[in-house]
Amino acid sequence: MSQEILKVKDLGVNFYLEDRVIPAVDGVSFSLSKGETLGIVGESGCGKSVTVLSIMRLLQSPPAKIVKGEIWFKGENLLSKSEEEMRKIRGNDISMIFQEPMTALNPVFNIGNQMSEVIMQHQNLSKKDALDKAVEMLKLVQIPSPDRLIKQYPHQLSGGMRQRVMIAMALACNPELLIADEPTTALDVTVEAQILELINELKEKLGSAIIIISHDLGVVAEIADKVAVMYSGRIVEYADVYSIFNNPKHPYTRGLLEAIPDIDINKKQRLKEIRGVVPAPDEIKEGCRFKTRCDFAKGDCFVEEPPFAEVGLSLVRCWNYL
Amino acid sequence: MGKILEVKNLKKYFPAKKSFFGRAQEYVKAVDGVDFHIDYGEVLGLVGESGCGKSTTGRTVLRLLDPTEGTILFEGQDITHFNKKQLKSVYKHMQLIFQDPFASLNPRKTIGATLEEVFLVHGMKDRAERRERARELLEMVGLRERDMDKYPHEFSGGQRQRVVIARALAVNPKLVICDEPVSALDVSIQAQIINLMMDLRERLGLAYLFISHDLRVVRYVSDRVAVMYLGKIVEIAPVEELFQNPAHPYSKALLSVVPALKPGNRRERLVLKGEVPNPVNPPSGCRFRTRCKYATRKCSEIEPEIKPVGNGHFVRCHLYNSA
Repeated sequence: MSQEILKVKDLGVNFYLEDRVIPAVDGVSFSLSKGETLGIVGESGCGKSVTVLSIMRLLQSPPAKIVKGEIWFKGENLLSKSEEEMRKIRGNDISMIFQEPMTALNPVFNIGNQMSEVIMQHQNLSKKDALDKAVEMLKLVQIPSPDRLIKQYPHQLSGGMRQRVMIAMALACNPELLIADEPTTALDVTVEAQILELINELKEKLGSAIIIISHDLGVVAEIADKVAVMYSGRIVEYADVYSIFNNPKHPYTRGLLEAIPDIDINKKQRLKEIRGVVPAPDEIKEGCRFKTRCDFAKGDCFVEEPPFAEVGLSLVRCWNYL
Repeated sequence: MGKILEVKNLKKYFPAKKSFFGRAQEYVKAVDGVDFHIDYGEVLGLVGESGCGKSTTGRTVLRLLDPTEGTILFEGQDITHFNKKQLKSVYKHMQLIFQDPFASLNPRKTIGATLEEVFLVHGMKDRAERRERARELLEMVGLRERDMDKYPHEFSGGQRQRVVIARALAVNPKLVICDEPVSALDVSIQAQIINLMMDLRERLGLAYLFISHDLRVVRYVSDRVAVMYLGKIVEIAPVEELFQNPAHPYSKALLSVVPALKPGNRRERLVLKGEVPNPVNPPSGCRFRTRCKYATRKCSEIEPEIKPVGNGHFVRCHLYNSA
């Protein structure tokens, strides 16, 4: 396929707490080409946010520490960059959209100031040109009367507007990689639809690669080309979006899809549950991490962790396919 | 089947701006004339976007907020102006479950103590009996006896929601108001709690007012569904009738934007332009007209009434009024 711009290899992140070490991400690998969208799904605590924060090198250390792996971005290993070099990359080559735009925007600066600061930092423009660029970006994300909006403060905007501003800001320097961590979770469905539509359009227009994290499988189905399903710090299934939704393999992926009451469901029928609760990442020492909740767990599953193996078009971590 | 709850012309205004002399000048019209009923054993879903007034409706029905206007009939009794003491007897039969199970449990009390307190408040004097009933309740919601002595922080989100459900059931309610009961939970846990709520409904004959923004969940659990927009119900119908035949332009748009769980077969989506107007100053006439592509002059002049269109289906829209 086309140019690969990001490659994550065997990433491992530990959190060092007072009394224990938590392996939040353990052996995660994936790659992304230009113009491609990767969806990462999984439940809270599975390590999806930690994974992308590692790419941005935004994890707070301590307690977090990247203990193994490599992150290659356009042929350079981000893990060997200095903080100074990273600052040039962030917001310029790689930028990020967060779930709660209110906490990501500075409440005491107006939108124009915040946006032009980013643009001035990275693109050597004068304040006036930077402001023009900001207005242009706000137009791109379909904000009505952007000239007025740049004089407003974040609290004066609605949630959907704030998220548009975040997206405009993230795209201001034409990043080659855009990371969106639950970008629509805090929004209403009608606004979510607007934002997803916008991201899809911009993807075509700008050709950036996108990583989108979501716990909502519907959002991922709508927007991703490839999907990684994470569970307890590991990717358990990795495939193109059609294989994931039409032919899910890992019992966890299947469970997730069946647990959602979809349109076709017979109402007399009980929802399929995944029994038990998500284990803490340090709870399971041996065997498959999903074994405590899996209906298909057998001998091997309790002894040794399954390898990440190719099954048809997918990569799956499950003994049932070996 | 009779009506367990009937709400007539319910209004709840919150003062927004005060004049120099402290008199409220502007009001947020969070709930602005809502009518509906729930039958015994029925599940009514209440959907809408944030700020549409669905939670305020739930809270006002429970009398956690005092209504500005309107009537609330619970089991035929007018509880609109009940005082605290009178309400206590109402709460034996009407309970609620909130979204955030952590915020609704006392962190300093064990689960057992939390449940026993409910029995004590409602006059069960014998301590051993209280404990026994608490144990039964925990079992009913899928927890174990040894969980009695644990504190809320020792449970996961799903387990805490089970405790909250157990507490709501402690008084043998007939109607439970559920405000986003599964929204804070992970997908795999969500299914467990929905199944539990549906089992309990069958076993105990409960009626639910199920408030949620998650349309997939609402479709699964509800018998009828009401759609709210800016403080008013714009459409109410039996669940399948509503989902297969939405009539109001807002409901149509709302239902069309739920992301499908299949890639590549995107349905035609009706993406609404603009945002929900400010409830302090709702648009004249029909409240949805500012975002509605069918809006005519009539819509800005006259507010449509909610009218039946057959099959137990009611719509507030001029498009259907002439028929």
